[in-house]
Amino acid sequence: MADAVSEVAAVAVTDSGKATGKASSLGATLAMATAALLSSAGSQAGFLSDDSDWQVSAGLLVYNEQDRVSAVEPVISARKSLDTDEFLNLKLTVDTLTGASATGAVSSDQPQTFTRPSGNGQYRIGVDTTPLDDTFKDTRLTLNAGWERPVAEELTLNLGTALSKEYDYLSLGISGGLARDINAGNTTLSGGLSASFDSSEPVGGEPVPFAAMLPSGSEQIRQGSGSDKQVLDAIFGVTQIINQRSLFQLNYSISHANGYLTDPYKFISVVDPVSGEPIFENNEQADLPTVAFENRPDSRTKHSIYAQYKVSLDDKVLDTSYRFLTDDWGINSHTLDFRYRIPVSKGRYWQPHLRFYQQSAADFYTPFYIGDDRPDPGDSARYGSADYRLGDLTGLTLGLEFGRRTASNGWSVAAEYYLQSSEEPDNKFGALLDQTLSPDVDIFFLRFVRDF
Amino acid sequence: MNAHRKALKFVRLLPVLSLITSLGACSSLGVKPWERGTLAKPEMALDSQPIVSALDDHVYFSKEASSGGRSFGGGGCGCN
Amino acid sequence: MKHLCQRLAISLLLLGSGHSFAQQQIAAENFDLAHYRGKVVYLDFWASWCTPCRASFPFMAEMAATHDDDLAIVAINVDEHRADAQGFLADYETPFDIVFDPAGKLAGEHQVPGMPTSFLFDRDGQLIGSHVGFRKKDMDKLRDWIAGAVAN
Repeated sequence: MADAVSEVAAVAVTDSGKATGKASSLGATLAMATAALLSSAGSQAGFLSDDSDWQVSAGLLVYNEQDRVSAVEPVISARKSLDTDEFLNLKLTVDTLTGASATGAVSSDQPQTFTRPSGNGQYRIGVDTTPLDDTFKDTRLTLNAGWERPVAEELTLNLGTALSKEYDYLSLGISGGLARDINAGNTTLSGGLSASFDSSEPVGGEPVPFAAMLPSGSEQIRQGSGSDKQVLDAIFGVTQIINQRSLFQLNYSISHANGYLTDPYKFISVVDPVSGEPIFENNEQADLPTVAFENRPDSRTKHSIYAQYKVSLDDKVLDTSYRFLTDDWGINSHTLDFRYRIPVSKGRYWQPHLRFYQQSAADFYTPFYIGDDRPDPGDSARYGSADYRLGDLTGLTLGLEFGRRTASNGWSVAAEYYLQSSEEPDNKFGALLDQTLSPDVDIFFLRFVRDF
Repeated sequence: MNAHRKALKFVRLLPVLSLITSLGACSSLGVKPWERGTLAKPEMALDSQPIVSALDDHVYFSKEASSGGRSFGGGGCGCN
Repeated sequence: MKHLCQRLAISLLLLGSGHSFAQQQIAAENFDLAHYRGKVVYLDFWASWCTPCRASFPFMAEMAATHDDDLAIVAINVDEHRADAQGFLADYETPFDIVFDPAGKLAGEHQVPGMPTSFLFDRDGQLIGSHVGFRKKDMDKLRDWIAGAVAN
């Protein structure tokens, strides 16, 4: 979640709304005629001019992971034309997250009780159940503002800023980009930079790397409080018109994050080298298993290449894109996305959606530690995380959208099903063989959008 | 050895050569400014549904280790 | 139907006031700049899909009202489909000639560099200059440009 602002700042840079005309109403026509009658020759007649008001769009995401996290996210955006080629964009997003998230610990044929991040309170996980922590309920507010204007012949500038706030988190971002048209507007070269500064104070403070979890009520092993992160992004792209019906875009981007990148709420189970069972060695609390809090490097550099091709086939539109990402944590990913817009009568359309995603695990992805393999507490030079989002995984999305678009407004409703699956770790042994450590995650979400 | 060096030199130049030829190819692609009617349609914009992209990106960003991709500019009516 | 009534209503309302709405719709093959000899000509290439054109049409109507018979405005449409052009025209008052150039022949002859583009010709049919794009902030400059040509 903490990386959201650079993502969101990038979205601010890329937001390009559509300027649509407004049909005259009879009243407006009469007003025009009256103004023409009353005006004397030479002075400015009161003819209607367009695009001087705000164009508002609103959206709602309703998201549910089976038995896990739920979220509702309303968003509202407004675009004002300051001139035919100058725009102001504002967007407000509210993100409410509830439910439970996987901690990284293994499931077991014995019950386990974990301590909440605050150190006060605990939660009990039954047998053969993936440990999920339902402590965190977040509401995040994000505000984006962007300004787009020409600065020279065939050269457009955009500037953006983003502010994001959650109870334990604050993020500030800025971005800037330039786009240059060449080849009679058929080729556009663009470049952008963005920077974001995040600071957060995790509940209970940051855990010491690989420190143990102590029973509820005891003082947990923490270091300092307040963790910061800075992210710098650069993107270079070319957009090329192919013919009257198609175009493509090719972008290269690089992102560098620095600071506290660890997830303070995630930890890794330590299992017995012989039985494969979690180790229960706590004198005060017999069902508190031995876990080590995760530790990630304090920097991450990602490179990605993104290609998009869009073609109009009669009145249908096919939108395809591919992204390859590689980073210095050892993660490589491929994303392939297809959307096919099929118009039916009177501005209505159907749009099926298909997305394939595949990622390879981070070098330090560790589903569990076996006995003494577990790093010493405080050893910040070593890295380890059992967060399944850093593991090998594949994702498949099937979605369908239905909507209506007229000259002056539009709406759409979509349902998407996203299945995330990972293979089981190949070093499972003993009791772990009876457990599903990487269960599939079923995600279903609905999306409502209204353009006013 | 000489042939080997020549081959290596050629291989190193390949990316540069392909870039130059592709730029040349770029200038032969495209349409006249008055032929942009289809490209100007809202559904042909590269990011034709900004709110949809933002909401979807948010979902995938929080469930995966990847993010980003799009940039701005290009396509459309090419006006002004 | 609704738009037709609107146009009829306006025409009737304004008939008595002396405003002339000499709007001809001409096919590209029948267009000849020589027909406008003796007047300053403002030639504007537009399309229904060109969003700045929505701001340029009220401006051209204003110029028609201001300069009356000294200025001939000719708006050349490059839409592939006539229906798209008619849909756009229904939203605006057009007291000037419209030429339909769906094949882009006239656009090609004038080597239109971008949409929209306007060309200004003097009373002898000689090209004075061209202006690419339409921005609200350019309107004063355009007014002076046209007024200067009319005054000569």
